[in-house]
Amino acid sequence: MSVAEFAPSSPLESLYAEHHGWLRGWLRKKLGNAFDAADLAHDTYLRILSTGRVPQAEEARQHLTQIANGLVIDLYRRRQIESAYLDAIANLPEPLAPSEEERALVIEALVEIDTILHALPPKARAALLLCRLEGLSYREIAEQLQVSVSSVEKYIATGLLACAQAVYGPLQ
Amino acid sequence: MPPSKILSAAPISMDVLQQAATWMARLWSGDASAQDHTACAQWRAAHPDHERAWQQLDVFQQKLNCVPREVARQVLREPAVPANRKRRDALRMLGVGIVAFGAFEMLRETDVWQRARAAQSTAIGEIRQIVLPDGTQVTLASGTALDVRFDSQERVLELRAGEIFVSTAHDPAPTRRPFRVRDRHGMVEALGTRFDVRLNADSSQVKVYEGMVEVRPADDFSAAMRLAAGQGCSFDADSCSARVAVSESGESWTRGVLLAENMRVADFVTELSRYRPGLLHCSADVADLRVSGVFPLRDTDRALYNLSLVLPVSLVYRTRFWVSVEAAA
Repeated sequence: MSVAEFAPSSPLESLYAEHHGWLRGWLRKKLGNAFDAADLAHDTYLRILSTGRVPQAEEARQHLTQIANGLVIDLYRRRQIESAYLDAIANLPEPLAPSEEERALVIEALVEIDTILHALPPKARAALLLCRLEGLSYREIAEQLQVSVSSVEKYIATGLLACAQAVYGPLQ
Repeated sequence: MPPSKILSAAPISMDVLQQAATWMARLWSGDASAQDHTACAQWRAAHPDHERAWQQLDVFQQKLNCVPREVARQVLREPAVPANRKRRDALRMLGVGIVAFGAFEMLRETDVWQRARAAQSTAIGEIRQIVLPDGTQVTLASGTALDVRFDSQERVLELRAGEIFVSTAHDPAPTRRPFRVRDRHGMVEALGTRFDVRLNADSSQVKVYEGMVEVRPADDFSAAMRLAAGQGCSFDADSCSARVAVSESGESWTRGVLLAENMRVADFVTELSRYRPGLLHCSADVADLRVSGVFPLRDTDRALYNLSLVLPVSLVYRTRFWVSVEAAA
């Protein structure tokens, strides 16, 4: 990421000056609180900065809302994961309860895994989850998905490939 | 930033990654033999890229290892086997309200909805050509919804509904970016070419008129198949059908006409109904009659009228939006 690409009074600056106000307002209405709205408005511009491509004036509004909307969805999903995680550890006895720092690391990993899973085709994703989380054998997965055992092996392979693709970018 | 870009600049070939994926899936099966393990270890040692590919594919497991198993199960597990798309759209819904959920899910599946959301779309009866930033020409058939996503790594068309005819151009970008058409059944990769993709409810159809394409079903990369000019196939998320011959008449729709060669009336009517709002069908007693000729797709009333001139059929207009083709009295 390079900030130097944007000269003073750059397109990014005018994009900020013209749109930051309503974007925050739009986000506040959607999220119902000003702090999250300010955070996500900030992140929206960071996204644009990191791609290095500032949208043309006439499509700026649409572009910004599209990015912001994606961030809102990510935030909802993260909150869901956080609360599911807190539920999952709620019943642990005191000495086993993870520290604040451990929690943050686990939530981060869960969000990453969830993002990867979203990129997978449905059957590959189901097969991977059943295999690695539920510990089912291919035969048992085959029964659940009502496909042949050899299909399960192919779904797993396809899923692994798609995971790599989600993390390392599209394959050639 | 993806770790691969830090560790090593050279991309790993798709072939090697596929081999690694096949090996890993074999070993995870639980019934891999000692020989399988040895052979896999030999494969990994045979070339540095093999080991790199292996590490890349292990990324899912590595991330999973950061989380206690029981926690991961509770947080990530899903009811039954929902399509991932559904969940993502369900999240999108949170802003709209859960009450409408069922109705929304149904609506979301419809072509009308897909057309309303896609960047490029055609109305029923409309045929339109667009030129993409790289010079590729795309013709959209009636009732088509298409998203165009070009970035530094690939050129992707997301086909959400309908049918497109693609005539690819040489990529002006300095590095070669693959040209791909994706739909919910899989992906078609163009290898310098003219081709057609149609999305049906349960499968997709590809026809190649020039050059070559590779078809990759969404759920099984090993089912990928290459098609040369004059070949076509249909595919769903799992597999491809056998190759079939395609005739040049298949691209006539891009010029706004239906070129029928000894075509069953039932197929003719199905084809025409794609270009016409409302209901259009034919009765069983005329379904197997054959028709040849050139019919206008942008004026389906005239096409039907022309049909009635060459075959012993009559048209029953119950309303303008409900027409049936029946045996002439």
